[in-house]
Amino acid sequence: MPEAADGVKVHSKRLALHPAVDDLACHVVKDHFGELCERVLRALLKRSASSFLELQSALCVQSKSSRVSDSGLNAAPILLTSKDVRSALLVLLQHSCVFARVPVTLGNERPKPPVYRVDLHSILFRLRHAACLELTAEKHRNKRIQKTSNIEDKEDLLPSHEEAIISLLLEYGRLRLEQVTTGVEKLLGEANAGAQQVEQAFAGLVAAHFVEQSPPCNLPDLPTPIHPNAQPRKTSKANQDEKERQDAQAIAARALKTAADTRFTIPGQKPAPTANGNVKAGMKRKLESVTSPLDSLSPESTGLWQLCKSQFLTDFRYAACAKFIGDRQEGRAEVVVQGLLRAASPPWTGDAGAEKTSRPVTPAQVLAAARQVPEAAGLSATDVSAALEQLKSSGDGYVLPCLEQGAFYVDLDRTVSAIQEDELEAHLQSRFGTHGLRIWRMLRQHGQLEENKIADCALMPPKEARTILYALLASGFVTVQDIPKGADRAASRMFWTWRANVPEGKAVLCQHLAKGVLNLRLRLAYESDQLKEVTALYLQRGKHGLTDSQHDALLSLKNKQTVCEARVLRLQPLLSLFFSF
Amino acid sequence: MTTEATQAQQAALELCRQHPEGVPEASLIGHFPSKETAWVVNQVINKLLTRHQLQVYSQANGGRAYKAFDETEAAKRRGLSEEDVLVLQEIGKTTDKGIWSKDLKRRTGLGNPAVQKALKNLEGRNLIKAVKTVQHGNRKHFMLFELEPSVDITGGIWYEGAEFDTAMVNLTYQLCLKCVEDRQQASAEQACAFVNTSGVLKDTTIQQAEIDSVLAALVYDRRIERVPTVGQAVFKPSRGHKATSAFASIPCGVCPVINECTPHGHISPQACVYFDAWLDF
Repeated sequence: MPEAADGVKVHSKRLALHPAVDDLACHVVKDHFGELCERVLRALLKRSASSFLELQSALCVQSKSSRVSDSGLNAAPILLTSKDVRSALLVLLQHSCVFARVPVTLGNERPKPPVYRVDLHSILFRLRHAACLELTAEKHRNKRIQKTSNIEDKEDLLPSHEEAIISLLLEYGRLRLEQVTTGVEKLLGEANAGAQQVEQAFAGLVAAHFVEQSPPCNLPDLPTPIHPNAQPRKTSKANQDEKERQDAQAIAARALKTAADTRFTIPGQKPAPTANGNVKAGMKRKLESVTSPLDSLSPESTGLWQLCKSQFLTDFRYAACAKFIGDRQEGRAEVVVQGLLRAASPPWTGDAGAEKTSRPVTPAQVLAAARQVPEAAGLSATDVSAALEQLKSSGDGYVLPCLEQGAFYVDLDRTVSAIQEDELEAHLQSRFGTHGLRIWRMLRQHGQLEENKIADCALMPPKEARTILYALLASGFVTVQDIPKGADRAASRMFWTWRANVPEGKAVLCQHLAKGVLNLRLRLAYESDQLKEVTALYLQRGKHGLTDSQHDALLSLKNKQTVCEARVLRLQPLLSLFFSF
Repeated sequence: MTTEATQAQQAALELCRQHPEGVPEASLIGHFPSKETAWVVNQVINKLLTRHQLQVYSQANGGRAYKAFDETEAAKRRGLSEEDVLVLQEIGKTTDKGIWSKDLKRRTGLGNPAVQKALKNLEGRNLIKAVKTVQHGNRKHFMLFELEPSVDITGGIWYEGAEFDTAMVNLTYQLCLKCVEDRQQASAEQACAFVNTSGVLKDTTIQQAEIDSVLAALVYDRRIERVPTVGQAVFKPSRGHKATSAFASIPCGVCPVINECTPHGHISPQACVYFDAWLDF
């Protein structure tokens, strides 16, 4: 399976294509860290990468264009100071919203200052913090600390150490181990949180890849690869440049890989084994040649720890896949697929979306893992075998047999793609009705059809079919191809065929989802802003200091907040489905 | 005209009437006594053609053949001008598909008034008829009077005149669904028999092809699914994967102007009427 050399971000480039995603990211940052950080983020989003000086010139110096617009309706924004930009950058770096890279210099070039890039992936992951806490709580529920003797009373149980660590890292971004220990002690009380227990829980989380070392800020920036179609110049200087470039690229890639490989290593401990249970050969040699793993990392190691988003996203992805496959089968398929994925889930080291298939596991392993799921009460080996056979023979291709040892695995790529298409179809149905969905499915099945044929097959009048087709075309869900009957390409002697455009359809849905979440947040902010005086009054005087109408207005605002926040929570898994899976 | 010539015409006509499938030119010439010259034979045939008692057509082998018109047909065609005949011939070539007047104009090379005049004349003589196509509501297609328009023109059973019969489609859709749901597994033939014997669709017999398209629509709608079998298609009720999305539960999920919506634009979430209605408790 492919392993990403760097924790950052296969999706960032794709996400940057959507202005709605940029807007949503900026709104999230503004909401969490204030307007200053939002302005710095916007300036960074405008360019793909900026050095501090470039950021300064963009935010601290009044440009000609802004001076011109000063006289108009749109007043120029207030200029920031270098100190503001620096503080905002530090906050963004602390919370992994931005990462720094040092550009690789070739030959006799002067060293370049570090550049900062936006990690949209991380920013949008902030929307899933509640889900992360929920997942951790679910995994470590049995480790919750008892406050009183009454075990049955859940209210009297404190969060487990793991929950406390994760909530701290969610809140503060990057922390040192000592800071984590102190924070947990504060959260749970010194009596309940022993330093040794915290460290043990922390090591467990690192081993499970839920927590990782923050990458150092001096990691090299990979040089831009030369386009394969570019004609090589046949001069000795060009050859030398090319060689230098390749060398620099190799060194940079190695440095990134080292950082990625060691991010789950606690100083003083052996590195975590890979998926197949072996320590990597390169890493082993490296370990043998030095006295301590910490020594080998000392120049790069930051000593700071952060959440590993990939592992959380992998878990979310597995849960979504299990639910999707289970819904399509009868019996206990969902529990069995949950068990299969649980058994097949060693800590994943790559990006969340890079795992194409799950690791093959035998029915016995599936049963052992499924028994840990609360819903698997009474599950027997026969049930597991029957469910796996049923899944195999269903023809869906989500669960497939492995040629060796009677093992099974889940085709995650196929399953995620099917989930996405399901969502896309649901969206099409809500926007274009049953007939719109019928046309879409017909085009998916037949590939390319002419308008009249579509109307005939979809059992609808040609006029209605045409209206739906043009609405689908305007939204980007279908494409139309003109096929001329003659060489003159005269419109009168041409016919048009329609085709479903799945990748574009998914991209459009992504954009709409991001816009939907952003709009909900903006509307909520607007509603709260409308009543900010009443809210202030309520905070000042309490319930009895308000008139009846003010009280009703506040009650209505509360209802609106509940509805909007509930909807945002429901939309977050969808965002993940299209942005991160 | 001489008596011999008249007799020759009668003989040629008689021969063609005896062979309604058509008489090849060589056989027709061979029928005349050998003393007749070729010039006389041609005169006779031309005369019959001018009177619209004979029609000439090309055979597959490239030769010509002749057919006789019956009396009423001949009477209808009597007195047609050259333009009329040309238009009639072009219309005849299109068989049951018919032809649009603009295409007719292009093919015959005649001007619009001449074509319109010819069409009017031919319609008046019941030689051609105009039918409306379902694909282009306002277009009239012309075809020979005795032909039935093809399904492409009429739209088949799903059309009542030029209008799509939505009620009929929905009824058949529901009947097919009921058939599959009641029997748990049903073939297209069974569904066809069920629909035709249900007595709901009066004076209409639905063919297998139409039932196939209804069943296909049901499959697209995920109401039924095709059982993977060899040979005849068999259908069973769907396991019920209804397409629902959390996104549809907010106004933006179904908003028709979402592409024009911007945070501070004319259409914005702050001023959105759909949000107003949605949040109006």
